[in-house]
Amino acid sequence: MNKIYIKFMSDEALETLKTNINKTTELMSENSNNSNWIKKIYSNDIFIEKKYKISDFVLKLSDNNDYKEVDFENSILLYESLNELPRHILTDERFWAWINFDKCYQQALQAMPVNREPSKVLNHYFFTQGLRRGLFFGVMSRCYFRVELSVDETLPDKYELTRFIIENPERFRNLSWRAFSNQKHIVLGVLKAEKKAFDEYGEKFPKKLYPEIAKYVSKIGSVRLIDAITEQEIFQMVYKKIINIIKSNEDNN
Amino acid sequence: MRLGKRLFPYPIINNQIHLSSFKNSEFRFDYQLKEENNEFVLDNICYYTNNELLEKLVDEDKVKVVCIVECSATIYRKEFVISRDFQRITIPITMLRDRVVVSAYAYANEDISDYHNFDFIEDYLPYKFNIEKYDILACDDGFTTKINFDDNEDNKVSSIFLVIKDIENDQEEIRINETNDKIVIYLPEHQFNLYDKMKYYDRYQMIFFSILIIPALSHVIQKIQTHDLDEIRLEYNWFSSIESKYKEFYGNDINQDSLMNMSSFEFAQKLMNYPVSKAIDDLFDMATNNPYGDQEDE
Repeated sequence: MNKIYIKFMSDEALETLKTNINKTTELMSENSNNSNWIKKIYSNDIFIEKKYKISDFVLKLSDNNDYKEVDFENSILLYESLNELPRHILTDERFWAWINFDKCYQQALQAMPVNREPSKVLNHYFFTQGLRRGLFFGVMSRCYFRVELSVDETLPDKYELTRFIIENPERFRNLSWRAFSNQKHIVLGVLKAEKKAFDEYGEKFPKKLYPEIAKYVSKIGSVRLIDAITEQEIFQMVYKKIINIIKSNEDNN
Repeated sequence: MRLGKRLFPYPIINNQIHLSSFKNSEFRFDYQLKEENNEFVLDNICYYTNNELLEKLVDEDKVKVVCIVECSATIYRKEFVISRDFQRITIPITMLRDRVVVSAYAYANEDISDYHNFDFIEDYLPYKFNIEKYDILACDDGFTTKINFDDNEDNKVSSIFLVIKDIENDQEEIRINETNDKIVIYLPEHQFNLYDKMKYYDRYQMIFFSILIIPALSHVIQKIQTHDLDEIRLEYNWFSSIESKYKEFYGNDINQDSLMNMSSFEFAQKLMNYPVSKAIDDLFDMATNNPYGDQEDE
């Protein structure tokens, strides 16, 4: 693959699109093929080339307009194309604005249709709710971080947990709001416990359990130093908790 | 990570005495904070405690002491085991951005039965506690610092101001907002288009500075004047430019009193090299058909 320089959306362009969010939303809703419409709002340089290079990549589009069909494959490709970039780039709103509004514009719109709703654009295309929330809300950034926080080189299929969370993003979403998810080994331990219990109990696995698990892990960290707990230990704690809840639900029924 | 005022079901030594459940025990970490060779450095980091029981438990490996460095913006969090001896912790600066929180904790490395210390405050003194592995026994919430590193700027000093077109503003009102990174001035569409056409002409620079930049800068300085200086530094990246200019003018660092007592309008003019007076000169030159100003006379 060719190497390309990454780009940032300029500060002025980014602020102009956010400031004029109704116009931005209207133009996005009317233009699903490319983002040339930005020039109607902002006439100077929209994207600025930076010194870092990546292998060029093109994400897939679903022929059936169902992004779920390509979500896993695209998330892996996005991760593998970007994961050598420094962390301060990967967490910069201007970088993800380039991905969302230029490099992967069509795919972003298929993954998160705007439907003339300005709040969707503000929340999923920009970091309007803070840096961390922006990363995990962002239409493409969250695809990247789902992979980064679930890829496990120790497994025969290193993307096994990634597949598990992309199948149902709720399995990861509740963890990602919490500060403990900055510790990857904690995320891996929780996901492995969720997956083992899900594989064993299938239909009996309560759909509303995922927020409970996130709360439980936060509770563990309220008195204990969660950073020091090993992946295996957190796996055991969470797995035990899930089994207790499932059995208690069975008894109540 | 920060414990703040979190309550524990057993006594802990807290560096903030009013939150500690010990009478005279201390726990803290010492360090020298540096940025060297694109690295965030905690040099000579070590912990200190005068609690003999905690020392003994550390020596027996029943308790460990760690420093935790966390940067929420870059999803970075890592713990480093520290001791009573000096150590050096280095983190590539590219891993961090904006707020970085550094704190230290002593935690149980195994279950500890009948935990008791004669330095417990009175409420706890009659009791013994069963401590579980990973329970926190001592904490120092440490400090928050800010990393402004940006190797994307290509060594160019970027402006702390942004002038933005506001299409959705149907009034003729100009708005100002201070974000983390910039002071933003929003112009109605028509006025923005005129500004955009004229902004590169030198002869209009001082006029634009006078009608846009000076009011905006005065406004935000006035707005933050009564805020805590440390909080301002953490919140607003553009403030470091104001601080360095202040030092250049006055030879000393800005402090809480000098910020609170300054005239925001006068300081804004000084900061931008008196564009208001110069704008009057420029207007006079334009009015008397001398569009090139003083330069032509020289």
